[in-house]
Amino acid sequence: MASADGISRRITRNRLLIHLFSLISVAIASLGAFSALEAAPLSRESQRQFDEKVAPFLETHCVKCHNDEKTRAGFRIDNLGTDFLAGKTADNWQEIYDNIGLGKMPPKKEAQPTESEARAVMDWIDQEIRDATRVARNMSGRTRRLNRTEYFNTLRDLFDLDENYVRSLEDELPPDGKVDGFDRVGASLYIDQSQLAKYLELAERVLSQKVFAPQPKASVPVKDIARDMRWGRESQDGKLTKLTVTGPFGELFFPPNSWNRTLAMLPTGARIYELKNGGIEYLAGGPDSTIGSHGDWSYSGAGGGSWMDHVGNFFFRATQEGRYRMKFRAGAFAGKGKYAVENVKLLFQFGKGGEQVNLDRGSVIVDAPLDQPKDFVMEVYLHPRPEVSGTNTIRLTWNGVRAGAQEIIRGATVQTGLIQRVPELNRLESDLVLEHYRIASEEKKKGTPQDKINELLKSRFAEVNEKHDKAVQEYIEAKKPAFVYNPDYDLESLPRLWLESWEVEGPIVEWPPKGRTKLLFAGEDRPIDAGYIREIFARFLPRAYRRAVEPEALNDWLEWVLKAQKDYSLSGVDAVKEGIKAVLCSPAFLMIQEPTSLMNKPQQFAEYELASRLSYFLWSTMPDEDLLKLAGENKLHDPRTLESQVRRMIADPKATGLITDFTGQWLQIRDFGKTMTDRNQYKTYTEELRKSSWQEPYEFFKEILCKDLSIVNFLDSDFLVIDKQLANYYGINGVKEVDGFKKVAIRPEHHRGGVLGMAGVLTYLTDGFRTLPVRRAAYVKDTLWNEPAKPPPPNAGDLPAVKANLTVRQRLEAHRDSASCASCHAHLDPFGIALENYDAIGAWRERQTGEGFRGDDKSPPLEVGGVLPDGREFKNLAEYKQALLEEKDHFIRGFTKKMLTYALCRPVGATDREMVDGIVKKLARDDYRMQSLVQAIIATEAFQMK
Amino acid sequence: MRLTSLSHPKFPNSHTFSPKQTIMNIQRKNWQMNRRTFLRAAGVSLSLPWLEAMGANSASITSAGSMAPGEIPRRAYFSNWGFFEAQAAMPKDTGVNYTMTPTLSPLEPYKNDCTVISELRAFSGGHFQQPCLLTGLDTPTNGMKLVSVDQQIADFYEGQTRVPSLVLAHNRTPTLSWSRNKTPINPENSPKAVFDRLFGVENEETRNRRRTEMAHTSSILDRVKDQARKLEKRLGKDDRATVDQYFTSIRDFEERIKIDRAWLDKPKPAVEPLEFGKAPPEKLAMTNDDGTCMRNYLKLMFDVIVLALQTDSTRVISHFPKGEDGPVFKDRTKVPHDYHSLTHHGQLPEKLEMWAKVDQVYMEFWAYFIGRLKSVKEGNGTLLDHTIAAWATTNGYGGHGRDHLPLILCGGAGLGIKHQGHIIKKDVMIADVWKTVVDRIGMPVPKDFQGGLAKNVIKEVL
Repeated sequence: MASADGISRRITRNRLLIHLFSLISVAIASLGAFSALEAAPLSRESQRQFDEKVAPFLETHCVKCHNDEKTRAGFRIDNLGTDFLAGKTADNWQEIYDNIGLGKMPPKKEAQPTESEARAVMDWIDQEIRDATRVARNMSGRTRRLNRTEYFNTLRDLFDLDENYVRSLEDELPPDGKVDGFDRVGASLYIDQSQLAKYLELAERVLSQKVFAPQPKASVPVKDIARDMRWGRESQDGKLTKLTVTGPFGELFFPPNSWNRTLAMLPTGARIYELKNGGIEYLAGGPDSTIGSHGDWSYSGAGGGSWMDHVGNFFFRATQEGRYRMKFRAGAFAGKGKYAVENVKLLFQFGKGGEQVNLDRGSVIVDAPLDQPKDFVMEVYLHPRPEVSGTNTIRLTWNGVRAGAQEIIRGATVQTGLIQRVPELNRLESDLVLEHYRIASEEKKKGTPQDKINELLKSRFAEVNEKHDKAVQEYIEAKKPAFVYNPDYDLESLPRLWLESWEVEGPIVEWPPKGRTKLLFAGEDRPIDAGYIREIFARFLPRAYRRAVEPEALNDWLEWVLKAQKDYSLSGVDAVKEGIKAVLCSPAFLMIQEPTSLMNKPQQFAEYELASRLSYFLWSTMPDEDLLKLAGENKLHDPRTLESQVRRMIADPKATGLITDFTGQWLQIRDFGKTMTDRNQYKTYTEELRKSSWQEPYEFFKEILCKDLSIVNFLDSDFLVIDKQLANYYGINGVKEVDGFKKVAIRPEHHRGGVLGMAGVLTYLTDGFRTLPVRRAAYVKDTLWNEPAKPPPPNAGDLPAVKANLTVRQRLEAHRDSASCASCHAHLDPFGIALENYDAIGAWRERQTGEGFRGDDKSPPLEVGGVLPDGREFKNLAEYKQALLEEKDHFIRGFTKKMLTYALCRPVGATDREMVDGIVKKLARDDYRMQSLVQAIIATEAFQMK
Repeated sequence: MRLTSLSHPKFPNSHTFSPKQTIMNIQRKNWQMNRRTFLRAAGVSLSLPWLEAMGANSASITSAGSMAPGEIPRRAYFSNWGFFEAQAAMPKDTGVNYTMTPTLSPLEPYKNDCTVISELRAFSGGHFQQPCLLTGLDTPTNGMKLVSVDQQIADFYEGQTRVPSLVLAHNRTPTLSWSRNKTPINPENSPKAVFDRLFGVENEETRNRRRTEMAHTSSILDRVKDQARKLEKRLGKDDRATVDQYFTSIRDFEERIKIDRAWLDKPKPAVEPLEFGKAPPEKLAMTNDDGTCMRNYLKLMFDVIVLALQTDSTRVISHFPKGEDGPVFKDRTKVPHDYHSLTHHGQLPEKLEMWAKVDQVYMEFWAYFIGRLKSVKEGNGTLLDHTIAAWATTNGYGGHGRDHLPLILCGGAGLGIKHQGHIIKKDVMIADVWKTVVDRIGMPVPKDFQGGLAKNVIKEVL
């Protein structure tokens, strides 16, 4: 390690408490094996200048505020090393250079250095950085293993596996570590024995479950016809069955289906369906009225029946994960007036009984008219999870009006659904229930313990039952219908769904699977002898290795495979499997190999290496055949070919690799789940909103990438890419449910635009209950301002408990009063306070909400104004965003560096300054367009040379 | 030979032991040492499990009581319990007769088997920083490498137990345990999976299958090792880091296969099967908020842990039973909030009280575990006497502080631990407690132990 004690020796030995935090950053540098850069002690001349000019300067002007005890702005100078190739050392020196150069440091109130003293230091720093850059260019060891995402994507594309399948395997490997926010840097991608064991296991699994799986029995579709509905209860003779009480009183009456047994006898009257035209036409839907098995007026018992026994059994017995296909012959009417729906949708759910999570869902829009039905196909990927106990259950519903809804209005139950119990029976129930609650609350006031109250109520059940049964008996004898249509509903205007049949088959397995046909390219019938094995590997190896394979290597493998076959008496197929398993665990597959020449001179990447670099950058997976072909023909380095390939790759669906993996890490979307929003306090934060809000940033990025828009849009934009869920939430018109995510123009009064208005981001930067402006500030500085906030020094105190009802801004101001806190927070907090108009779930507010404030007129109005580090003031969010735009160079540079880190798979620091400058200049000429950035990065020396 | 610091193959430059330890190590009969030496000479680097060394039938746990004190292996168990209301839980007074607090009251019967240590510190107390408990340092950023104390103990005992250690948690991330190669270890959350691995009955057919599997794996490892050698020749020295790790992985994997193959021939201990139920208990544990499923899950896991220690299937365990969330046992505590919102109490006394009530229920599991350990006889004492079990957390007040941390050190009386009731060790790093554990295990303190954070041992308990 060059000289961590270089300066400290000059300062004071006692102050060298090995403060762990800085020790670690220096230690990173000195872990030579992993930082891949060699230590570089200063030349004699350099050291002399340092000793004579630089060190004394630092000691006089810097160290007394930037040491381990006082760490102003979180920056230590007392232990700064002089190895410019180590870790962040060069970046730290760069910061000193910048601050002296701009006259920001030393602070004006301190003694100032002379012009020549400052100059000497700056010159020295500049020279060292230049020298280090030159050296760094000659070293760039970058062999690394595929990260988790890349590994599974590569398996997927090597064997043509289903995307859902590989994603469900991802948890088998532990998540990867990150460097500078991205999981693509070799230093954080370790390999250990358990990882290796997992690779072996996964290879075995993929090969035996998918590629070489035995031929499955052809899946036989199973079909049910609606008109074959079986009526469950018509065969009962007209005797009234007594209700037995099974639970607290309320359950007798809520929900209505608890009247099952008596209702079986009641002439029901109104129904939620009609049998017509050879099928069933439903008038009511919603979550309570399932299709396939339901009652007359709701989903259970009561005069209804079931017509989905075959399909039901099919799902009940399903054990295999995979793609399932359902076909419905259906027609629909979307309704008129206030009950109309945008589209009639069938919604399907599959899961383990009792679980509300881990449901597989599917849906299909039925847009054929009632009298001209069509076949509608719904495909769902199901995870039956046979290892979890519980039966498989399914639910098929549609978005019609609800049948049995009711509300309690002023103490009375009011039936608001399509079907009502007749008023007399309803009133009876109402009265009985009210009396029940009245007794309960009286007893509670008297102080009777809860279990005594329960007993008392239970004892009344017999009497209540009798009253109730008597009333029902009267109805039966009089043959009066117990259920009528709610007069509030106009039956002609209701949405309707007509179904004739429901068919299902699956799992849909292509046979033979594409992966298999690619391997056994000469067909299933050719016997797998040594000759065939050779040919199989001759085709497989170059794909697995992602490059051409020398004949010796092929022979070598062949020899091994044949020996294994002999040693273990394996069949032809098993020998091939064994060979493939070994290939999938070998370094050539697991690692992206970019061997540098042993002469330590920069050279171009080989064609195949470039192909891999391109495909792992833009697709997070192996190169496709086109790329490999061009590489084989030595054409990839031609700038025009390269540029057109990049354009092709961005337009390819596989570009989701870049979109998901880059954006997911840049905007920290992968960590959004770490914030648990309190659903009690924020009832509008539904699961659907959450899902959409997590998807929004990806869709926005995709739009900017694929349409080649300016990256400045991330700071602020006049459009959003949102779905109906978000459009409703943000108060924006023009998005229909069928549109999925689409681009919509917005206006200033919407208060959105760019990354900072996205609900997902804003919700993430909270503690689940209230906003965290400091976290928001740190996020902005990291993602949009190219100056990640330094972590608090380990001796930062805990925040004391706050007693008074202060606004968040007031509280933050209190903790900025300490000089040591203020040194970082003065420049940090304004970035987050500016966003206070967005509450803890990203909704717009003008007044303080949360934690004692209700956002009403009594709550203080929000003050979000502040000052940016260079002095630019802003009074509100709009001015803040304007300020960010005016200083967009921070963002442009930062974003470029992040994308460079991602593309080059190494940290980008002070030694890359010129390269970054070059890209930024080019971007400015090209209106900062995204594809320009991508092309510029690929055109850099760093991307093309090693 | 193994326990003498100077000649340990893994710690050639280690420090000398304290006198107490040396005494502990010496009580070993000569004929057993020779037997080990013989086995090593015969090419099998496997030391006999101590039960068998004593002639006791290692397949039966009922004869656990018939061994000499010096032979009984020293076990360590580490746990992290996530969020915890420490303000109310820690006793106000110190000493062996401290006043029990409601939260700690389930430990009343074991008051003399535990030492409650308060006011400790960890490196980092924030969300998701739990890995710093056993490693000393913060979770890895920018390529920082960590190793945890339980894995160091596992390495110390390498090969002597069927599995080197158990890494258990309710969730896959974050993990508490980091291997000697500074890589994280994916925890196991299924008690049944652990049980099957340790005690699942195998017949000759399954054993043969496993032998074939191992043979195949070994030959694949040979093959890829070959590939890696060829690759290495073409790489400059800066590129070698990844390939070096690859070689290390292969070597470790081969070692593991060797050890596993030797253990394959040894019959597993026969234990009474546990009732795991049809649904995986770990999946149900978090879904049921009244806590019945969590209760079942924790109990099962602790039962498996006790069996594992009792049968010497492993000697070191790291366990992360509860993190930042969990059920609040509504049926008992009647708390209307969920656990997460309890930790955002804003200093409201009702919420703090509720939080403490929930913690008391969790403490009952700890008491259950200690009670089980105490109920197993071993030598002249119990399994608890030969196990140091640590209850700890890195989530300080409100989950964000790394100070005022409590730790409950239990057991180990047969290893020289003297319990002191409640002691306050203000601003002492938890790393010091681990140094104490390592000392009692009888292994030399590894270099850079706990990132250099461990200063001294907790002398009060020694």
